[in-house]
Amino acid sequence: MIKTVLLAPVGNSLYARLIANALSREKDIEISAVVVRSILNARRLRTEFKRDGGRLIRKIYQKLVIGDKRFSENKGNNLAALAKQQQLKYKNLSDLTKSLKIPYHIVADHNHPKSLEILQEHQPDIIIFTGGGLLRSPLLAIPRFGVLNCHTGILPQYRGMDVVEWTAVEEKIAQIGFGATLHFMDSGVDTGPILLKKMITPSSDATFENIRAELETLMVELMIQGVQGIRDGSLSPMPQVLSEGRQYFVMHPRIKFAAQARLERQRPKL
Amino acid sequence: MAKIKPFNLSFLTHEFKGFLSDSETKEFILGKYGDLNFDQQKSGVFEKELFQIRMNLAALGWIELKDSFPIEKKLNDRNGRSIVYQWFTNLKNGRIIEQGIIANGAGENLDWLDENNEDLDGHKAEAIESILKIVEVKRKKTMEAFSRELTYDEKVQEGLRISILISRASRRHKDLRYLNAALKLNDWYFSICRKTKSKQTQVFYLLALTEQERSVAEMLK
Repeated sequence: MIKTVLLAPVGNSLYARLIANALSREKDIEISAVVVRSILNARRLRTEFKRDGGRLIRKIYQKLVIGDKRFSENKGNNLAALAKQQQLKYKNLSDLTKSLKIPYHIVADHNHPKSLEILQEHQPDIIIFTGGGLLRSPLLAIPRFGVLNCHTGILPQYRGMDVVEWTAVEEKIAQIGFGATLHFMDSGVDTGPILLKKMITPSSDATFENIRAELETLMVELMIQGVQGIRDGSLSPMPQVLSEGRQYFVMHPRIKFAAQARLERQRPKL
Repeated sequence: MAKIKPFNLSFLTHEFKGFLSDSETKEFILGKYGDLNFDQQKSGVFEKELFQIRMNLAALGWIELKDSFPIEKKLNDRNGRSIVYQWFTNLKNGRIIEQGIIANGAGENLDWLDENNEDLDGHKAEAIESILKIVEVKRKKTMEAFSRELTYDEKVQEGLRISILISRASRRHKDLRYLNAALKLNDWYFSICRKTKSKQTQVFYLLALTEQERSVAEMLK
């Protein structure tokens, strides 16, 4: 039996719900608890607003107001389609945990002492991270195997943020491609040992939006396969050669415009 | 009713969407260049920066250069190797970034080293990468990542020197991550620099923007 704890960024995270729902049906995999980061943390909001300005408001709006609606206009392979396929009936993690009788906790921050206390009580073999800020070393040290994270890009080459767009603007679609990588987290950004990696082939009319939507479904798939693989002992983590890649950051809108144009230019070669 | 020129509203657009577009940036640069170039030509100050601004604008095809610049040779001799190495030797604990604070002169001196293809025993590339991380992680708070001993204007100018360094580094190393950080820094400094009374800050900001636009032209078009 593998004991897991799932960490989520918000209570309505569809990504987290899909993973929890799928894992709850798996043999010899137990979800011991679901821990959600509270949105109502004045100190964090203040710090993030000072740092991010208007971008924070957009982020909160997207997470809390738009939520699942962002998929409605998007045809094809995305989390909403996967939810339909899985017949996911839970509107949020609170419903899911109540129905499946899983302890549900809301914490100020995943690194908060209270959060660490909860995690230590559950003694998980794996922590499944679906978002909610940076994780510090004391938390990373709790699970027996480690903390799993799925990254929306190809590691070790593209670490960090907006890597779909960075791959396009650096004209590396043919060479590196688009994909997702499941890895154990360490104290760096996307630098931990790799468990699984999978590529997608974008369509000839692909946009960043639908590439990302497809990658999100792949991330659910990889996370489930990763937990299954650890349970079965069929996966061995491979350390990354960090010099083979670089860390990327949130892309400026003017570079994003160029990335869009370069995506279109590279598409016929896909 | 009097018509409002689009430029007068550009700062509002910036506040709302958080960045300056290609056309807004060009309009701002040319407007400021007109004012500053005229002022400074009389007094002869900021000769080096104005020269660099003019070279950038000419490289962008935004102005035509009609006269020659004897200043060029002087510029190359000015910030010599020994000055940069002296700066490095005097750093606290030998570190360019100490407890999140970027050493005074880091932008200017690292730029000289990078331009002249020199290194500080392997420290240069590491230092530029660390500066990139500071800008990206601290975001707007980068503007506070300078020594408390500096005045407000000096801190802004140190920040603009960092912007100039990373814009140029993006062209030299063909690395768009540096341009990405420079674009953000210059956007954050826009609110301060568009209304500053300090001529030096205005000149540095104009130089930062023209370096940014040269990188945009070379790497994004």
